[in-house]
Amino acid sequence: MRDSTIDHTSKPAKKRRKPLRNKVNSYLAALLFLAPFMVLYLWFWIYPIIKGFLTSLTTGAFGVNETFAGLGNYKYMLSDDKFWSSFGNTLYFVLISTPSIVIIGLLMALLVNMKLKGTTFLRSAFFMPYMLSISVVGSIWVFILQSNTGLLAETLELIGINMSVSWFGSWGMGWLSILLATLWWTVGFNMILFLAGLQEIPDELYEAADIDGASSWEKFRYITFPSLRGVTAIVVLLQTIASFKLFGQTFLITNGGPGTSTTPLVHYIYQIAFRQWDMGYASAVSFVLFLAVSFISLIQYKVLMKKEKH
Amino acid sequence: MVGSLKRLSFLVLGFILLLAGCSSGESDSASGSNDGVTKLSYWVPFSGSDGEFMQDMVKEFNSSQDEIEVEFMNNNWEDYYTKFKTSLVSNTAPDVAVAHVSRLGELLPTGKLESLDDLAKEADLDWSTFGDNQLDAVTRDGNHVAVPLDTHAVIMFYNKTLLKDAGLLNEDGTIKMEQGAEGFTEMLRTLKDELPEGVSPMVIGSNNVFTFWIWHALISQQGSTYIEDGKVTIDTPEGKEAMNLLKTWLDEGLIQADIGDNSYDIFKTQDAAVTFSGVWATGNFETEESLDFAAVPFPQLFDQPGAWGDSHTIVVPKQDDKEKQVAAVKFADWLAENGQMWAKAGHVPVKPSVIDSAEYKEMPYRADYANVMDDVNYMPENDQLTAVNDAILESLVKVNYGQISVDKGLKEAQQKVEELVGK
Repeated sequence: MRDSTIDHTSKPAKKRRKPLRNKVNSYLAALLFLAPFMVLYLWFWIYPIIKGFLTSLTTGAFGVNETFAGLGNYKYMLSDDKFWSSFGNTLYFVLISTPSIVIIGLLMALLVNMKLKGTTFLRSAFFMPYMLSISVVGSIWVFILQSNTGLLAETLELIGINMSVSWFGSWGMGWLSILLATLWWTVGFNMILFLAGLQEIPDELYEAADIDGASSWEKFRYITFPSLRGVTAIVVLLQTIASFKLFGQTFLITNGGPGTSTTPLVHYIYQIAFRQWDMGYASAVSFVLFLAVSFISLIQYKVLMKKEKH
Repeated sequence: MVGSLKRLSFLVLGFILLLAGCSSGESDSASGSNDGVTKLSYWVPFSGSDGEFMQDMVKEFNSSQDEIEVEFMNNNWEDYYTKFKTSLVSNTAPDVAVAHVSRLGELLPTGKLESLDDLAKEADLDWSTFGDNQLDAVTRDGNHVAVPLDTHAVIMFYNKTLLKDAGLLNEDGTIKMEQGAEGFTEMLRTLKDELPEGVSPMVIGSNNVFTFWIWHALISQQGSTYIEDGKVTIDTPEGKEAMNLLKTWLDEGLIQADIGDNSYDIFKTQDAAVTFSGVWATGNFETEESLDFAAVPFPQLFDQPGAWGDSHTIVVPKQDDKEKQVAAVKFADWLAENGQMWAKAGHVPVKPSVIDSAEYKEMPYRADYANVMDDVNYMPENDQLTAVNDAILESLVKVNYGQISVDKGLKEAQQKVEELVGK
């Protein structure tokens, strides 16, 4: 096979047409190389999105009497209090979790970047929780925070402080518990990204600043902070998307309660789909979430990337 | 160039064929009845401590005969019905599976469960050997749609040592108290005064499903339920009465908030004197040797006896292989017949003959609460039952945490459930 190719190309008459042929061939080669990915991508990514949208246009119980309903589900959503309250809960969590997890991640990265004794230990200790599955994280935090018998309550009792705090019993405490668990679980990932960013900053900049007699704060303010802009943009973006997808923590720690006070949108989607068996409405809500996340990410991306250009 | 392209395209083609192969490859393994052995795939939701007991039973069944071989597949309880119902709808269901009586209302509308009377004849299953209450619960339009396996209920456990120290134990080991709700509450108040610091009179899951189960037991003792003939009856005097009682216990510190699934451990470590818990906790409690406890039916606090309860049943999904379906029914009957093995997990056997057997009677605790199987009031049948129960629990927990009043909570639950049922 290979010999014949060489024969063909060595003929001067064909040589003139080589650019076009090569172009076609390289397209073909590229397509073939991409094909395995494209097949999987279309099958597991694009097809479900289309199928999800089509499902969102149906109504009825799963596998029993599903019928076409047009935009009925979307119309119903507008008047569904629980949809709005869980959407509100999701937004609230995005607002409280994104800044706190990003800022604490940055502080932790600065800490482990200081080349103090024991930073290797700290670095792995900070990152370790990120490798746990959400079920483990959920159990750990319930174990710690549970009132009366939780680790925290028992420890406080040992040292003579007998206060019973109901960590899952109110709107505010419920969210605080979920925020704590999420922070502990995911902050290590942000720390690693920031750390990578920190280590890319050339030492010369700091040396020059030292010569100019800059203080630590000034070095942070005028060298570190501006140099981290690109990383910060990515961390904020990823964190926002992750916070929008909040589900496991509320499902396992507060079960969305008390009442519905810690039920975010994905939790509600789960309830509609697998407790009420209404796949049509669940798909519709999922689609709205998908659009909302895409829209907010797009704006965020535009704003943050613009800043970086300056 | 052409050569490498060709090779690449072969690779891609091969890859695609491989992917296509994945989707249809799995069904071959279980269908082998050619060597005279019928193989059955069997799904159960026993991720709790009862899983081992069921696994032992399957092993015992497999070695007791050589015609049927059951492949045991235990699933996580939390998402069992997600998986099972999806498998029914997509025609990938196992040959035989466990389903709760309360879930039949959601599973039957799929039309994918076999009606069992013809199969039962071929499998020599005699329906008259089963308990009446349990048999009624699996009968639809005169046909049996499942083989009941057990009854499990919320019952009362109490710590004999703590009650004795508080002067509340009779000679015969029963609790010293007046009848009715007021008598019971009074007993708890005495406990609160007498018990050592840090020991709770009673624990129940005030922020989990136990709240709903106990509320249901208390309305059923007043002759009420929450969906009757398609009408929602949550916001009723009976519903309020039941919730007021729970709220009183919580407000007076006779039970605590935020307990959740921890109630088992609190009772086991003797930090509480009384608990309402599932019969399945028996096997757990008896592993603690220092714990001297009694297990008795749910106390009668209102006009009639009644308890929340459910039954595990065996269902047979529809399929073409009738031989397998008959084998599945035979297996189900064997499980019910050998209920004394299943009773180790704490569940009450479904066949009266098993309950009357010497082997069962010799088991500690079990016989003391066995007659709960006659008191059990099953939940109403509805194709939205899971979501309905979730909605009620959501509102009851809000009441427990003082977010809304009893009146408002029940009104809210009534509205939500009406919408769900009317959907």
